[in-house]
Amino acid sequence: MNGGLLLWSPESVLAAALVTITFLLAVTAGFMLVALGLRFKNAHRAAAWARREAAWDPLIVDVAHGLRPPEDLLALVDPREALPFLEYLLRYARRLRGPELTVLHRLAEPFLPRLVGRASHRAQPVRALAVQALGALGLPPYEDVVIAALDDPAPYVALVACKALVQGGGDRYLEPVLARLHRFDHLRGSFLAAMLASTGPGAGPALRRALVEAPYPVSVRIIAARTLMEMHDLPAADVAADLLRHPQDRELAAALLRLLAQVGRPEHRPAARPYLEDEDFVLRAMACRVMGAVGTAEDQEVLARMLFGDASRWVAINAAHALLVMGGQVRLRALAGAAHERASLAAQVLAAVHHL
Amino acid sequence: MMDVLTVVLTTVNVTVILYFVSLNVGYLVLSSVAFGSLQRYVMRIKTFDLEERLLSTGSPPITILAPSYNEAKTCVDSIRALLALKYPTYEIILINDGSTDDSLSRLTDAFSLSPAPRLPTADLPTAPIASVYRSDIYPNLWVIDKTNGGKADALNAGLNYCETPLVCAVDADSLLERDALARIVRPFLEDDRTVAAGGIVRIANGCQVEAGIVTKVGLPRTLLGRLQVVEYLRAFLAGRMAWGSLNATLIISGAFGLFRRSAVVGAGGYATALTSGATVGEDMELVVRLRRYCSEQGIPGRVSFIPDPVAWTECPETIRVLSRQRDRWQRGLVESLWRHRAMLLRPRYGAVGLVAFPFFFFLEMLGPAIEMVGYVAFGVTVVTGLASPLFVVTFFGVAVILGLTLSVAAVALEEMTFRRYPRVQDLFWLLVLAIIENFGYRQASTLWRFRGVVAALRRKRAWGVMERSGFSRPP
Repeated sequence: MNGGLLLWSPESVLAAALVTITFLLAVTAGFMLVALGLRFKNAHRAAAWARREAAWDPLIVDVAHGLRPPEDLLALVDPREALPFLEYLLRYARRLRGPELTVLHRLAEPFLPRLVGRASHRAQPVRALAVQALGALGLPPYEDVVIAALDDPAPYVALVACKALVQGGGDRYLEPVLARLHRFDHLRGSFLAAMLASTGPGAGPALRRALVEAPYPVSVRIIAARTLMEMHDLPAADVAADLLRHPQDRELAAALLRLLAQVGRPEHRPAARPYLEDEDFVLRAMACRVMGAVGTAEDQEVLARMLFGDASRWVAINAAHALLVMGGQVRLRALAGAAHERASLAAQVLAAVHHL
Repeated sequence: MMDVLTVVLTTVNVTVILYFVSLNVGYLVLSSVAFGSLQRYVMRIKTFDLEERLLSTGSPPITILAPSYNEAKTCVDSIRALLALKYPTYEIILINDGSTDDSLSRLTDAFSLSPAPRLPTADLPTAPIASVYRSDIYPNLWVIDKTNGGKADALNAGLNYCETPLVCAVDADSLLERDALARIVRPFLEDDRTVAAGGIVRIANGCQVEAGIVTKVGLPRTLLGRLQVVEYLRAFLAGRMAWGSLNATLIISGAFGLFRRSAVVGAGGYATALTSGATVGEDMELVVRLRRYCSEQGIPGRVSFIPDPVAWTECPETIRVLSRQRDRWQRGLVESLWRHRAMLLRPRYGAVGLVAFPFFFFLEMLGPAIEMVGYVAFGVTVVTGLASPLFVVTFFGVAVILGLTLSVAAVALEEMTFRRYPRVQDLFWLLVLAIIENFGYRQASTLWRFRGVVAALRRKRAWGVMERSGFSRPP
């Protein structure tokens, strides 16, 4: 460039530009080849899958239902197809239970040892996939590997292990899972609770213990309360009511009130009633729900007052729903006709019933 | 006189070259980051069981907010598509923002709407609400009819009536894939700090749509539409994926985003003349403000981008409409960044303040202006003989090939991950488009964005009209 526009000589600038252009063209050509190569590789892979499915699909249902021996299907699996075959079985394992699942375990058995090494692979997605497959197709023989994965440095792999143990082993592995549940504090509580609830009613005693026992951190006790609520665990109501009689962490108290709203009985009413006057609106709202489930005519008065008078609209909404659940439709109708800005809330709750 | 001109041109040219180098190095780094993130993501979603999510009681309820203004042609189809979504518990609130066409009557006829009581749950200021309707056929469908106040105002009206912890903002003309909600909710389940998540927006022109569902993916018929496909791939699969993995996302498309209701309401809702001041880029402004709000309030707030939940949207296929859209997007970007310039290079805002905000501020916001000035300065430099034409041609050669590299990389990322264009000829087309977009389209795009910068400086607020033809149905 003339006139001193740049510090470098024109020749060096041009040379650098040409080198850059050549390099970039090579990179671009590389990307193009990658794109085209991937297209052909994926087309080839899809064709291979289609071939495998065409061979395995006609047998899998009969084998799973015990109409044909597993050996018939295993005879069609090339040893080099071990991983695709496990992936294929995993699709069904997620849907099947009982004897059909046991058949899948038998089908998977010869190939599972190959996954053990992959469960400690340096890439976390590989570890996660291996742990997931071992959990779905290899419990209890490979329980040590899956339980060990609860301590995997990657929280994601640990979560996959947690899900695998819960879904593959029911309440059998609840203790090790609860012991590591604090690792998943960053997860949404309802998500964890739904996952744990899938273990079934047998998990009740362990969860009730976790709810009470001090060694468990508050976050785990909250999840335990939510899980018991998901499971409609009736004996948990007594535990929740006892705990609510003493000061509790705010979020734990809210979870306990939610639990009582689900499984509480009239005798638990005194434990929840003081929370109607709590300064925290979340606790007041949850207490309204409990009253809806276990309250008396006397509570209807309080709820009606809260519907119109509580500073929080969330409390008002819960009070209106509680009134409805308590059979207070007549009262709600009267409130809906009142000259008050929250009258429409009563009307809204009544209209929801109409829509149902 | 010549000396002064030389100094001026030197300064301008060096600035342009520095801008060019920084921008493209930035893009190359982002593409590399996106490459690694996408690779990991694709492996990770293999362990994700969609059916399990759909059956789980642990999935939080969602309210979909669909603001609609004169969308009579597409609003019924769009709502039908939303009603067909696969998700355990969700509500749809369509906000008819004072449409002057027959949107409301079409909706009333199609979904048997009747007035219904509903108490607001928040007090974000909005234009007056005329009426609230509920469908007699679909109890989870609500329509709020209100005085026109703009898209952001309509979204705030919807937020005011939202009763669920999560709220999903969509354009009324977008088509969400059936599993889009079940997929986009993942960041909220896996990280309780998440306050917002965005999905990918893809172009519906040229696709076959049946009952609000994209059944066959294809490229748009016009060259202009096709060029935008490559542009969207670059923006979402490279740009947003990379920013998301750095936890520095500053934009979630208004066409499809999921938010924590309490955070959005806490931050003051969408920006309107009645709240924090109107902007045409309400989607970006909200995300930037959420970032700022969370940092300043000490609330852990994560904003994610995930590439598998898809919203299909109609793109402009005439230069007139496209230029207006790009002008508006740039105005929105300038307004959002300028409004929150206090975040620039401030460590308290983390990666956003130190990396993403400066990148957007200096390169994306000022870039078109620098580039336009550069074109003129380079021209003058050549005319006055201060630089050889060969130098300028070489420089533009590097620019074009770098653009080509980035676009081809984006196509390769698509091929590596989701492969939504199944026909081989579509892939060839995408590669060809990656080449030809560098000759004319990118320069035109810079011009439109430059006009956006100028308009933002002049504080122009017009939206422009998007002409919609409706989604194509099978023959």
